[in-house]
Amino acid sequence: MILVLALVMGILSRVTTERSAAGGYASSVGAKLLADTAVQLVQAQIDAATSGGTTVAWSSQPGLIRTFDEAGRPAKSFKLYSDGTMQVTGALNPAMEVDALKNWYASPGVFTDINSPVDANFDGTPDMWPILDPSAEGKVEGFEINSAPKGSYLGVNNPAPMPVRWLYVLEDGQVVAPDASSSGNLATISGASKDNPIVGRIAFWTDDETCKLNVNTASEGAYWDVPKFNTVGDQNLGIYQPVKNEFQGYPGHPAGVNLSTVFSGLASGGAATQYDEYYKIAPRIDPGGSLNLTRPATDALEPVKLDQDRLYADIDELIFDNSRNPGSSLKKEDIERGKFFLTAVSRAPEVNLFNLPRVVCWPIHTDVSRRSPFDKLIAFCGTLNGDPYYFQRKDKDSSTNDYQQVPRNKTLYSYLKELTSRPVPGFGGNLKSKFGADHGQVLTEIFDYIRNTNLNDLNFTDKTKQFAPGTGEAGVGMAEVVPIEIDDTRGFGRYVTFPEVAVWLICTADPDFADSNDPVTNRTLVTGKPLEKNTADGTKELRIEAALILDPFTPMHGSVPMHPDIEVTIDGLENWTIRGNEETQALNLGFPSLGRQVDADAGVYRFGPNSEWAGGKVNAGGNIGANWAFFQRQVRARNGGRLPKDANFSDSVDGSGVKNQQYPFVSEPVTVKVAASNPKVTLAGSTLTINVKQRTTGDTIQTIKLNFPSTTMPVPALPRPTAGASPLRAPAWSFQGSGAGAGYVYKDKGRLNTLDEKSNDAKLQPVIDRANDVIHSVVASEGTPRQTLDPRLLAMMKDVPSTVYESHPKSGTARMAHTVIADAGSGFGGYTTSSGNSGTFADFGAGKTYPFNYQPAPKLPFPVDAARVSGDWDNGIGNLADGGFLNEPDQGNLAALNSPSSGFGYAPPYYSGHNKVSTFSMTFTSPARIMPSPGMFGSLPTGFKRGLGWQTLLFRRQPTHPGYAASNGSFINNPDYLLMDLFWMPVVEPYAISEPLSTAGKINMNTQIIPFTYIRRDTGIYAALENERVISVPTADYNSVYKDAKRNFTDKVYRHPVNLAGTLKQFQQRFDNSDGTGLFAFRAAAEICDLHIIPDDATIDTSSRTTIDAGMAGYWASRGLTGDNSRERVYTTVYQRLTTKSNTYTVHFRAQSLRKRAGSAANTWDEGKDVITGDYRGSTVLERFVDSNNTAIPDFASNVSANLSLDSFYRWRMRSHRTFAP
Amino acid sequence: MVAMRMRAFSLVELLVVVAIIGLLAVLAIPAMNNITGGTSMTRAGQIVADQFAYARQEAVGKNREVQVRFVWRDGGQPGYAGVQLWAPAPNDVTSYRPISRISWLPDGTVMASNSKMSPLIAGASIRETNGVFPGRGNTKYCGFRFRPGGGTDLGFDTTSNFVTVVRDRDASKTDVPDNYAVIQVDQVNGRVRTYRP
Amino acid sequence: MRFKWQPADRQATHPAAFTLLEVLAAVTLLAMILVMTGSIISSSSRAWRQANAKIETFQDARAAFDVMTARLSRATLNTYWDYYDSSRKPFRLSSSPSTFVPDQYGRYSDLHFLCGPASSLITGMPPGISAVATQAIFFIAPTGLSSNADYSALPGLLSACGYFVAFGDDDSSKPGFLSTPSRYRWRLMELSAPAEKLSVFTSSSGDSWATTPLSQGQVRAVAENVIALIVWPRLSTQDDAAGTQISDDYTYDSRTADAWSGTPPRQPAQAHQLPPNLQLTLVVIDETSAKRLEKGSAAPADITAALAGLFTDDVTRYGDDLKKLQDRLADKNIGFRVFSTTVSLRESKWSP
Repeated sequence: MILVLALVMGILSRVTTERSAAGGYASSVGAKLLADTAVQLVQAQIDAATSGGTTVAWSSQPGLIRTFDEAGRPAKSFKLYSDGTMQVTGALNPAMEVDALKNWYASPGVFTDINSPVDANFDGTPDMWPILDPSAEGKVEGFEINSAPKGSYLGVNNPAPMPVRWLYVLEDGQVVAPDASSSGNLATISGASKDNPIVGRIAFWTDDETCKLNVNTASEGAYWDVPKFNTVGDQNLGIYQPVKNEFQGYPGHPAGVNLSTVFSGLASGGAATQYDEYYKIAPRIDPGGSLNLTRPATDALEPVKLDQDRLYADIDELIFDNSRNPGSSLKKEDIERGKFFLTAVSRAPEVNLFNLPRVVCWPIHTDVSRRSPFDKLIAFCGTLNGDPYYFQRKDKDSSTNDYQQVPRNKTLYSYLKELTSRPVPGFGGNLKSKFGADHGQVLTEIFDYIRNTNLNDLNFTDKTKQFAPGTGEAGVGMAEVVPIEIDDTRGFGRYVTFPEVAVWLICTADPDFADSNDPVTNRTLVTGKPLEKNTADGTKELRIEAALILDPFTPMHGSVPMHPDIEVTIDGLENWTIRGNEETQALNLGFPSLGRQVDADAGVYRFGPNSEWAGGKVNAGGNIGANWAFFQRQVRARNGGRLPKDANFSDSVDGSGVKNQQYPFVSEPVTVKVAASNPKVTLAGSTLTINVKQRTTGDTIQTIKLNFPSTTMPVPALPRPTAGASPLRAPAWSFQGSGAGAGYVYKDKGRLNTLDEKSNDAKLQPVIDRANDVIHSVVASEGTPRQTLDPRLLAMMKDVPSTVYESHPKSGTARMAHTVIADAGSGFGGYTTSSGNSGTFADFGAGKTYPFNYQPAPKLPFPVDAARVSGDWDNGIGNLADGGFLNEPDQGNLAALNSPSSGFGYAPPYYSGHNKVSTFSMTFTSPARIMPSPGMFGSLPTGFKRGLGWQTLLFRRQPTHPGYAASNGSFINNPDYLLMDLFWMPVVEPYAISEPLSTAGKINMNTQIIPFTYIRRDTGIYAALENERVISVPTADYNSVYKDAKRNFTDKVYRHPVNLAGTLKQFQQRFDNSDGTGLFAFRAAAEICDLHIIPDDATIDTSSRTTIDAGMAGYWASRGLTGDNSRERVYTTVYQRLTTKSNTYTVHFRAQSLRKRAGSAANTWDEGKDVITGDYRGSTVLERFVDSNNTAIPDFASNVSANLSLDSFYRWRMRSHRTFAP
Repeated sequence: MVAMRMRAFSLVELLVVVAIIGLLAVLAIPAMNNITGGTSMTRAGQIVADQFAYARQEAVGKNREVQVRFVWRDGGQPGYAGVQLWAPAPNDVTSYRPISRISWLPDGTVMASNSKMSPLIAGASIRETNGVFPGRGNTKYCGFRFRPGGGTDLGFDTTSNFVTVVRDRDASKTDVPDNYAVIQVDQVNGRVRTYRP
Repeated sequence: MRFKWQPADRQATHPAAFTLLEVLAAVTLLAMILVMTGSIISSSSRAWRQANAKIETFQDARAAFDVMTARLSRATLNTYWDYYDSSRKPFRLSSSPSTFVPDQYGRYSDLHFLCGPASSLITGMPPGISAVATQAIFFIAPTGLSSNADYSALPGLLSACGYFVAFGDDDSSKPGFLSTPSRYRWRLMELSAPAEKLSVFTSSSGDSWATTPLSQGQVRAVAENVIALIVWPRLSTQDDAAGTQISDDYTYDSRTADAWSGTPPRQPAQAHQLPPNLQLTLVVIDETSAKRLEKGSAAPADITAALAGLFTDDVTRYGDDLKKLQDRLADKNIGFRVFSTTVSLRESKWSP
C-alpha cells in the first residue's frame, strides 16, 4: 500500500506543477482581458465626448477631450486616463490634476507609474521605458520635464513618471476607483466583498497621436514662397524653386514638418545635400530637383523622382530601409528615444466645428474626363456616400451655369450659408451676423475663388482639358473666367475692369511750326486750310486729336498667364466736345458712336488671338497696363478720308478672321482756337456706357457708366524732332500712321503704333509724349472726401454707376492728370513724369510718396486711409506694384529666357512682367503648391455689399481694424478665421495623405499633456513652425528699397524665422488660462490665426497676452509695407499642418490580475500583502474612422440636422498593439 | 473435543512461503517501477522541463523577465544539478530574487555541461559565473532568460537550445550515453519538449 | 526443529498455529489482492497516462490556437491610397518613378495577406514536410521577432507569419545528437521568419516573401496532431449570413490579380484590404489515435481519406464538410476535437 500511496503522490505532485503553470496562464489571460477593458473604457470616453452632434465642438489633447457648447463655453472634459472621476463638467483645470499627483509614489495601492521602466539588460539600472525615455530631454526639440513628482517606485526613481490611479476590477466586472481614504499600500475598494472579490486592476493613459510627428508624411522642409520683394533672398526664391515632387519645399505641405526636431544629428554636408538623410527616412520624399533649393529652376531641371519606399506601419520599421538593410543613420536607441514623439498612423478628422464634413477648397470639373488624377483623388477625399463636398465647375464663359446647372453647388452653397448662420460650437455667435449684407457675397467670392483656381492645369498634356486653356494656337481666352453670379451676389471671375479711363489729347499741327502746318503734307489738316495764328488777338488755332485710354485691371494678381478674349464697346462718345479758350462754340470731337463701332466703320475694340502675348509674354494680372490695351492698334480712316485707314486695320494677328487690331476710340482731328499765352481747352464729356463683353458669347460681363465732367485743361503741344538728329525722324503727330509730316523718315507710323522717336525701336505700343501731350482721367473712387475705390469691389460690380468715377485730383492743373499705368513692368514709365499719387498704402509719414521707385504705383489717385491702417492690400509678386489684389493662387513661373547656363541674366522668374509658364516635364501644377490651405481666401473683400472697401477676410491677429469691433483686444466673437474651419484642402501628393474626412500627419495645437503637465512636448509645433517665415517689411524701407522696377536687389531680410519659444508662450497662456479665456485648450486649428506668430527679429515681452499684443502691435506699426497677403502667408501655410482634434489615440495600459490573501478584508487591497498574479503592460493604437462608402450616411449638405449625425458613423479599428515586454 | 496439537511450520513450508512472496515481489516491483515512471532519469527530465515551463508562465503572466539558473553540483564533478528561477523583485525592478527553491535533480542524475550534450548551457546568455544563492552561499551557475513575451534570449537555432540530463557517471562524457533526457526550448515561443531514448 | 508459540499465561487452550494450508491460503489471498490491486493501479495508471496524453495533445493545440488567433488578430496591411497608372499598375510597382504617369487612385498596401488551399500556396515544401492539407494562411504582423540583438526589443518590427498543417518528421528541430527515430505526425506549423528577413517590400507582387522562408525551413511546429486548418474570411454573421461576400472558396489574396471592374472602374474588393473576420477551425486528433495510425514516413491513409474532398472550394458546404469529417474520423475510431473561433482582424477597415 505504501507503494500505491507513493504512486498517487507522484501523480498528484505532477498535477500540482501543471496546475500552477495553468494558473499562471489563466492569470496572464485575465490580465490581458483586463487590458482590453482599459482600451474599451477609453473608446467609450472618446465616443461619449465626440458624439455631441452639430452643437458641441470638441478638441483632443494627450489624456483629455474637451467639449464646448454653442455659447463658446467649455461644456465637459472627458479624461482618457484612469481616474476616480472620468468626466468633469466644465473645463478641467490641469493644475489641479497635477497637484493630486504630488506624492503618488507613497501610495502604490492607489497609483502606478504607467511609464515605469524596466531593467531589460539586467545591469541594475532601468533602460527601457514603455512610453517616454527621459534621455530624450536635451536631444529632442521642444521637449522638457520640469518639476516632475519623482519618487522611488518599484525600486526606481523615474525622472519621467506618469502616475495614474489604479482602477480595481471586481469579479462581477465592476471597475472601482479606490476610496479617497486610500493611501500607502492600502486601497479601500467599495463594493468588494467575499462574494464579489477584487480580481484585478487597470491603469491607463491615452496619448494623442496627432501630437507626434508622422514618419509617413514628415521630412525636412525647405522654405519657399512666391517672391514679393527686391531682396536677394526673394530673388533667390524666384531663381531656386521647388520643382515637381519636391514637396519639402511646397508651402504648407506636411513634408515641411521637420524630422530634425527629433533626430537632430542627421543633418550634414553642404546646403544642397544637408538634409538628404531625412529624405532617406521619409518614405516618399527624395532629394534631387532643385537640391534643397540650390539649383535654378529652368525647363532643363529634372523633377524629383519620388521615392518608392514603403510606408511605415510602425516607427520601429525606421531601423530598416526599403530593402531591409539597416538604415545607416538610425539606431535602436534613436528610435526608442523617438517613440514618444513619432508615430506612423496619426490622422486628424476633417470635420468642422459642427462635426460635419468640410468643403474641399479645390475645383473639380463636372466632366470626369477633365479631372487630373490629383483632382480625382481630391474628389474622392471630398465624397461621402457618393455625395460630393467639393465645388464643381463646368463653364468658364458663363456667369450662371456653374451655379444654376450644377445642383450640387447650390446645395453646398446653401450648406455653407446654413452653417455660417448657426451659432458656432465652441465660439458662439455666427458669421452671418458679422458679415451682415455681405453674408452671401463672401460665400460667392469663396466659390468663385475656388472656381478660379488652377486654370491651366499642366498635368493635362491635352490642353483642352484645362478649365481655361484659351482657344487656338495663341490661346485666346487663356485664364479668362466670367464672374459667377449667385442670387444678388457676384464674384470677380478672372476678368478685366477699368478703374481708370483717360482721354489723351495730342497736338497734330501748330501754326508756329510751319512744317506741321502744310495741309499737303500734314493730312490731319483740312485740305487747303492751314491753321491760323492771330498775333494781335493773342490767339491761335491748334489741330488736336483725342483718344480714349482704358487702363485695365484684374484683381487676380499672380503668375497665371492671362489672355482675355473680350470686346469693349463705348456708347456716348459721339457727344464729346472740346472748346478752346478763345472760342464760344464747343466742337464735337467726332468720336464714333456705338453704331459705328463695327468692323466696316470705326472698328471694334477686341482682344482676339494675339500670338505676341501668348508666346511666353503674358500678363500676370493686377494693373496690366494700358500698353496692353493699345497693343498693335490701328485706326480707321478719318478726316474725311485724308487720313486713310492704318495698314493693318482690318487684319487679325493670326489670320483667324477676327479683326483684333482695330481701335475705334479715336476722335477726328479738330481745330481749336486758344489763347496763345495761356492756351486752354475745355473738354465736355457726356456720360459714357462702357460695355465689357465676352467676345465669343457676346455676354456682357460688366457695364460701366462714367462721366467726364466738363474740365478745362492745358492744351497739348506739338512734339518736335530732336534737334540735330540724323536722319530726322517724324515725331508722329497723329494717332494715324499716315499722319506725320512729309520729309520725315518712318512717317507711316502713328502715335498708337509707331516707332520710338529716340531709340528707333519698333514699338507696337503707344508713344506718349510726356512733355507735350495731355492726359486727363476719371478714376474709380468713393466717399467724401474721395478715396480710391478698392478695385476688387469694382471688379465685382456688374453695373458700375457713374457716381463711382471722379476726375483725377490733378485734373485741370497738370498736363498729366492721371495715374494710368503703361505696363505692369514699367508702370508709368512711358506715360508720365510726375507723380499722380497722393494716397498711401503704408503709413510712412507725411509728404512722402509711395515708395515704389520709378513709378508712382500702385494706382492711388486718392488716398486710402482704411488700407493704410488695416494693411488690407496685397504685396505684388516679384517687383510688381502692391495693390488691391485677391491673392491669386500661384501656379509657378520660370525664367523668361530659357537658358540654364546663362542663368537668369534677363530676369529672375517672377521679376519679369511677362511671365513664362512651366512646361509639363517639370510642371509646378501641383494642388499642394497652388492651394496650401483655405487661408488663401484671406484677401477676399468682406464689405462689398456694405460699401466697405479695403477690408478683407482677416486670418491673422490684429489689434485694431476699421471694419472690426475690438473686443477685449481680440476677436473672440465670430472671427473671420472660422470660415477657414469650414473648408479643407486634401493633401493628395505624393500619395493620399488625406482620405475622406481625415488627413494624416497634422499636428495638434493642444500639446499640453494631461495630467502630466510637467512634461512638455511641443516638438510637433516646433517641427511645423521651424520651417516657416514671418514676412515683415519695415516702413522705413519705402524708398526704392523693398520694391524696385529696375530689379536692383538689396540684402534686406523681410522673411524672418519664427521665435518658437515666444510664439509657444501664447499656447501656454491658453493652457494655463492666463489668457483669461477659461478655455484651457484650442478649439479649432484656425485659432492659430488668433495668435501672433512672432518673428525672431521682434523684441517682445511674452509674459502675458496683453504684453504680446502690445509688442506685436508696435512691431507691425513700424512694418507698414507688409501687405495682407504677406502677413497672412504664414498662417495660410501653418494652418494646413495643424489640427485640434485627433482620430488616433494610443492607450498605454497596465493591467494586473490580483488575488486577495486568504482571510484578509475583502474590500481592502494591501499592496504589501496581497498577491499580484498576472501583469500585462502595453499599448494599443486606436483609430476612429468613417467608412465613406457606408450607404446609410445621409447627405448633410442638404440636411445639416440629419437624424443620424456624422458622429454615429464612426467606427474603431486597432492600428497596432504592442506589449511592453522587453 | 480432543485438543489437537498443532505443529509449527516446517522450514520447507516457510521457504515455500518466502519463495512465493519473493516471486511475487520479483514480479511486482518492475511493474511498479514502470507504473510510477519513477526512474530518476525520467524524473530529472521532468523537473527540468517543468521548471522551464514554469519560468515561461511566470514571464508571460507577470510580464517580467525570468531567469533560469542552472546550479553547479556540489563536489568536484562537472555538471549542473539544480535549477532555480530568478526574477526582478515585485517592488524593485532592478533587483533580481529567486522565485522558487532550487529544484535538485534526483541523485545520480546531472545536467551535462559540455557543448555537445548541452549546447544551451554552453551558449547561455548568462555565462558560467558565481553568485550568492540564498541558503547556499556563493555558487557557480549559468543561465538564460525567458522574456515577458514568452520567448527566450537564446540563439535563433532551435536545434541547439537544449540541455541533456545524464547519469552521474556519464557527466563528463561527450559520446551519447544509453540513458538520458533531453529538454529542448523553442527560443521564439518558449515551447518545451522532452526527448528520451 | 520446531517452533512453539507459547502464550504468556495460557498454554493449552489455544490453537497451536496456522496450518500450512491456512498460511498458503492467506498468502494466496494476499497475492491475489496484491495482483488485483496492482492490475487496478496499472490499468488506472494506463488510463491516466492515456487521458493525460489526450489532454496534453489538446492542451497543446488549445495553446497554439490561442497564440495563432492572437497573432492573426494583429495582422496588418497598413493600407493607404496611392496612384495607379492607366494600365492599373500601382506606383510602387512601376519600374521607374520618373516615368510613372498617374491616372487613377486606388488602395494600396506594401504588405500582403493571403489564404487559401495549402497545396496551392505552398509550392516548395519546408524540409522534412511531405504533405500539407486543408488551408494555409500567410500574413504580416508586428512580432518584433529578430535574430539580431540590434533590432530586438523593437516590438513593432514586421515579420512574415503564417500557419498551415503539414505532415512530416521532426528531424529539423530535434536536438543535434539525438538518434531517436523520426516522429512522423500531422502538425500545425507556424511560419516565423525574423523581421530583418522580411522581403515583402522588395517585390511588390507575388508571395515569395512567404514561400521563400517557408521552403528554407523558417517554420516551427506549434502543435502536434492537427490535421486540418480551415480559414474562412468573412464578414460578421449579421452582415453576411452565408459568409460568401468576401470569399466563396476560402481563398483571399490582398494582391489579387483580378481586374478592376465597373464604371468608373473599381478595384476588386479583396485588393489591399484586410478581411474583417476570419472563421478559424482546427481539427486535432489525439495522440493515441495518432500513434495507432503511425505508418512511418507515409501520411496515414485514414486521415488522408477522411480529409479527401473536404473544404476545397465552397464555403457554403463548410458545415456539411465538417460533419463529414467528424463522421469519418469517428468511423475509424479516431479520437479528435474541433476548435473553432472567429478572429476579428482589428486593423481591418473593410469597405466593399
